[in-house]
Amino acid sequence: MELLREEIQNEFVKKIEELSGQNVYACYQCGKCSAGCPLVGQMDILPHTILRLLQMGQKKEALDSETPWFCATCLQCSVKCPKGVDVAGIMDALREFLRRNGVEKMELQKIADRMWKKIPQQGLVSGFRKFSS
Amino acid sequence: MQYPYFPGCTLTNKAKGLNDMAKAGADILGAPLKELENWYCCQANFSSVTDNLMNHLAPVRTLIAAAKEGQKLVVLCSTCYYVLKRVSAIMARDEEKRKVVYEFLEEEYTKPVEVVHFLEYVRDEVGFDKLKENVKMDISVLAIAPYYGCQLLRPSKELAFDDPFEPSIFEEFLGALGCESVDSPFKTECCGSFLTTFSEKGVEDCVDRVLTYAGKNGAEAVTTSCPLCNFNLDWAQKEIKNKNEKFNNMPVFYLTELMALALGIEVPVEVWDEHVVDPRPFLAEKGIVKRTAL
Repeated sequence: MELLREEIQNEFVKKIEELSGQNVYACYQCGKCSAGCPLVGQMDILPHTILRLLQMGQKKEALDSETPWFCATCLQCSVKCPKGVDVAGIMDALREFLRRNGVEKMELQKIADRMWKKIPQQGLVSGFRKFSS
Repeated sequence: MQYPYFPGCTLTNKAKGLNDMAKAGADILGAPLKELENWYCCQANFSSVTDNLMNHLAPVRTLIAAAKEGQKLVVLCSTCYYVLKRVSAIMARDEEKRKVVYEFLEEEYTKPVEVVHFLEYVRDEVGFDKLKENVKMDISVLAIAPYYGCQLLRPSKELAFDDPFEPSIFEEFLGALGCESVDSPFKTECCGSFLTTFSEKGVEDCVDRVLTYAGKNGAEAVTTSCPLCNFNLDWAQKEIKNKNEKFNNMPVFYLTELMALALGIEVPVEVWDEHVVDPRPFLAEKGIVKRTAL
């Protein structure tokens, strides 16, 4: 990973801050968000490291990560953050940025026939909203 | 005092146990739930991105409709409660957004409607004492772990439902019904939510934690007020058991099903049929439901 002074505070990071209404530089890397995240076992990069990547202007690493897709918006991170950063809101902004660029993660064929009959409507609607562009 | 009631999409379709038993129970308690005449899907997600107000329109329409029928709107599904309450909070505090939304809808409400959860409704409008007085069946043999999940509690400042770290309203409700409520360390953790359409493995990990530790504390079943939590906790058990023989399956009840049992309401077969882990053998073993009635 190459760190360049001119990449810090780039347009991408400004867009994520605008979408989420959050200041990514407020994070001081205590890691409480990652410690409290129930989905951290599925993530390839820890939530507080995603914040660090944004602080360093690392667009590609942040967008290539699977981490934002595994955020269930349970808000454990957001209520635990001592700096008041809504980490889940930033994950939502990253997802939104990707969706607006055509990334699609909803694979209907993967929802097995047997589950189809039982899954509540809200599970499908929120799935479409979070994973589909 | 009667307030309009918002059932939401899932309750009128795949979570009849939650909806029908709430209505039947509320009738007995003398606080009938009158369905809001004109309601819309809550959108199932609160949209946190700052530049898209479209996703708030349907909840605002519902809030406008509700304000015409009463000062409060009673909601039972945790997701609907979460979305409606958060959208209501945004509309109350952000004048600029409120203006854009109202101009688009060409309608606005003049007084804000208060979104209350069914548990708050029973506590504040009926009273847990009165609920207790109406109990017809002794269900004290049931050891139940209440599961709050996320959407009743967080963000705590906006929802102001209960203490976000040590909530107690569910326990008080179960106490009034007369069953033993079992504390468990992951009662306010996530069930995996909408990841169920994306990563069953992720959901299974969450559910395994919630149920295993509830079981270790002595719970024989759990209870929820959210159809998606209910589905995840119920559905994921089969695969968890496949991977780990030592895992103990346990029934997942809607809070209103337990209320119906305690109030002596006959729970229809269709309600029990909605479950994945069938609660009937457990209830029969406890003597709550007669085997002949199954």
